[in-house]
Amino acid sequence: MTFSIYDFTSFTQSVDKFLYENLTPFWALIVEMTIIGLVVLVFYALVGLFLVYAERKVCAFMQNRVGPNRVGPYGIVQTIADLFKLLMKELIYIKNADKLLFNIAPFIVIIASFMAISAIPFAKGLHAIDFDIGILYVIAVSSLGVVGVLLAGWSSNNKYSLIGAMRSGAQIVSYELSVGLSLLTIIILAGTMQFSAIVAGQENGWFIFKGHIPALIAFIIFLIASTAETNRGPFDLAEAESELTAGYHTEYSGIKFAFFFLAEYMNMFIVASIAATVFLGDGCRSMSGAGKDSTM
Amino acid sequence: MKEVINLPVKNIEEEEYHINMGPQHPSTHGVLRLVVSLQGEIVKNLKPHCGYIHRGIEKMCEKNTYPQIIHLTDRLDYLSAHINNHAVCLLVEKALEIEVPERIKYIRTIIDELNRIASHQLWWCSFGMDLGGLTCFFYGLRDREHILDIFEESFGSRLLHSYYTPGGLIQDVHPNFQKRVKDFIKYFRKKIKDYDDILTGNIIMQERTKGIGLLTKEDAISYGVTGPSGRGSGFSCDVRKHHPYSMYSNVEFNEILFHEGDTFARYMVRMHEMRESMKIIEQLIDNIPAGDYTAKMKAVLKLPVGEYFQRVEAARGEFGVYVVSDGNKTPYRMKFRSPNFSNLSALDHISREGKIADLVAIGGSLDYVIPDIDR
Amino acid sequence: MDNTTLKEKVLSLVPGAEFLENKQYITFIIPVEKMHDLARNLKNEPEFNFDYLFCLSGVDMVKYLEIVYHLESTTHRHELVLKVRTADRENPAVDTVCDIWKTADFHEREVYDLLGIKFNHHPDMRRIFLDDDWKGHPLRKDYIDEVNIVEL
Repeated sequence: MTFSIYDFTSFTQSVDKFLYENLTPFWALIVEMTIIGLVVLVFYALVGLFLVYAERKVCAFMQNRVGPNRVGPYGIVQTIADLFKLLMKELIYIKNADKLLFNIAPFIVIIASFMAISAIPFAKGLHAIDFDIGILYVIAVSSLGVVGVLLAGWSSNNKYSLIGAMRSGAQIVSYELSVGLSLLTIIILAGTMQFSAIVAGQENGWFIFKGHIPALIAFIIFLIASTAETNRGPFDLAEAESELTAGYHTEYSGIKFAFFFLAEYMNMFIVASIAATVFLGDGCRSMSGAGKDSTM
Repeated sequence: MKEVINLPVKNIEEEEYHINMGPQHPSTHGVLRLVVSLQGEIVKNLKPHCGYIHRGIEKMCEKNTYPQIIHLTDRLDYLSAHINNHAVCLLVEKALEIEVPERIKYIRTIIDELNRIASHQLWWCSFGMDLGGLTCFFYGLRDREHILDIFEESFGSRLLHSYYTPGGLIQDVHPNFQKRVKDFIKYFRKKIKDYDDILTGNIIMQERTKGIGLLTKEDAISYGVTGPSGRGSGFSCDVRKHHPYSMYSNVEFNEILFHEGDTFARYMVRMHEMRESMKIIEQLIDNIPAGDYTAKMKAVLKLPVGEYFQRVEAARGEFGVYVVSDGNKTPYRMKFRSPNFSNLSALDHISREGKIADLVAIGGSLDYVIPDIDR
Repeated sequence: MDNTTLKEKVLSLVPGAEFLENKQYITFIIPVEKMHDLARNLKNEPEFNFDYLFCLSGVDMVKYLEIVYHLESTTHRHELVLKVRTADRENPAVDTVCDIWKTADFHEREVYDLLGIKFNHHPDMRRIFLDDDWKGHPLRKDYIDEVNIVEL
């Protein structure tokens, strides 16, 4: 039989059974949710750390310099040191800012990307939620991030932040249409919105090859539109370092700034994993139908 | 019964939204405060507030002798420091009717052109950075370091050299000077192709600069916008061609003129000017005559009574020095015609009806250096 | 046009102008009230076409205050220097030329700031370098400032 993707269903189901046997259903649910929350949190932090370090090093090499190389061998501990520094910084409170909205905004942004991560399938059976409207859920939830950005810009009581937030809001909303439509192509091809079904449907060929030209066009559109969604260059006029200094997160310091920063990198990870799941098979080894042969 | 309070209803469209691109800002390149009135993202009005680095240089000049004034003119437009010094030296030499040796003229012209290249390199790297391309910054500075190394070997400092003095130079150039300049020219001719690959051909940069910040030729003449910014609008104002000084009448080079008047034209003028400067240096570097590094000057320089004016082509435009002398060793009145001051006066006019992002691109293409504005 | 023709033409336009000998450029002293009309003529007449004002300076000669205009024509390439003198040191006022050459806008504000000469009909007559509430005009020869100026 073909061994196409790693199968974690037995592992997760055994953990599930173990908890339900030993505790009352109520407590079992609570413990399960805590475990999943912790795992997602740790994963989030680790991936964020790695992505920040990778960006700094790669950018440095392109710009004819070295990048971080002091903290730890080749600078790999740099991001952890930055995290500690941000945690210890003073949280500056603006006198005329709207206190409630100012404090909530970074949390909304982080919550939105947490919710999106939990629906991504990492392997068969290894995902936190498996809705049957998975793709729709992810698109809907990642739009919540816009609310956080707009609140941040508005409540800072700073004209630069407001301009940055308005630009960002306008940009994200305009590109969401393109993201949704390009994913719609794959939904039609697969016939389902559920992530695990989409992955299963790619066991005998990735959708980007099975779908030929429409899927290829959808892939390219998705890449460009999702770069705009995550405010990465060349779509980074919301941050616009040379015009508005820092855009919507100018007034934030310490852990709240760390939230915005981390959420941006995690959004990149999320769109990359959606592209991998939906277009590129999410870990299916077979690429062109070799699986069909070995089932003989 | 509740009272109905009638508040005056303001028309939202008519309210002006003022934003301060304040003295500290990543793209104003110095301490300049621009109070911008916006309607959404469209710039309706712009008021520059200068004076944050006003040091009273013109007043200080009235108390300093002419060789001491060289140290003050260094600090006006510090990116083309040599050219500013050249103006004062030429003025004093003309007033005292001193003929400097040929060697001095050759060396001064070569150093002026090297300074122009260095200034344009710094302009290029900060222009790219303002548009968002941070990589350009590192490439431009890396190449500028070669010129600064040449300067450091001969003059002793990297930025503010005070190397010219009325009558000649403070000391002779280092024996390695000629070879290092030739090596640099060879190196930079290859690198400038990289600059075109990275930034000039970039579609995003072209969309952000073509058609933005239009300055017609009549406006350029009326506002006194000279230098590469004026030549981008078709205003033929190169002092090296119209009122030649030093060796400029003996070398062949083109005056670069573009007629569109937009940001991209001003950009292209500077890119071509770097190549023309290299051409000038190549014609002169092999033929430097031997000789003294200074003419015989008196210890105390007293200019005869009268008024004198000297114009040179600095990296950013026409730099002029106007001296009213009453026969003493210090000038009675010294006025600097600063190119950046006139260039800045056109900023309001050409940035109207554009967006904030365009304002950053226009400011980068006008390439103003604030200490020259404020003196 | 060459220097003698220029000199004669300007003298014919403004008979009260005083020609100064032995200067680097053709230099005239123009009476204050005739300056604006002469400037407009010099800019608009095709034979003069002085469209480029490359320097506007103020000088404090103790007996009078002087404004010096350096003009050049971009088509004929001749240069001219005009001077305007006013003996009034309390409230000196001269007509502005910023409606003729737009570069005069900032230059006249600088002259006002540092020398105290006001320009009539200027659209925005206020200080440019110093604070709005600064007392005095630093480039004047009788300006005393114990705090900011260090006498060596």
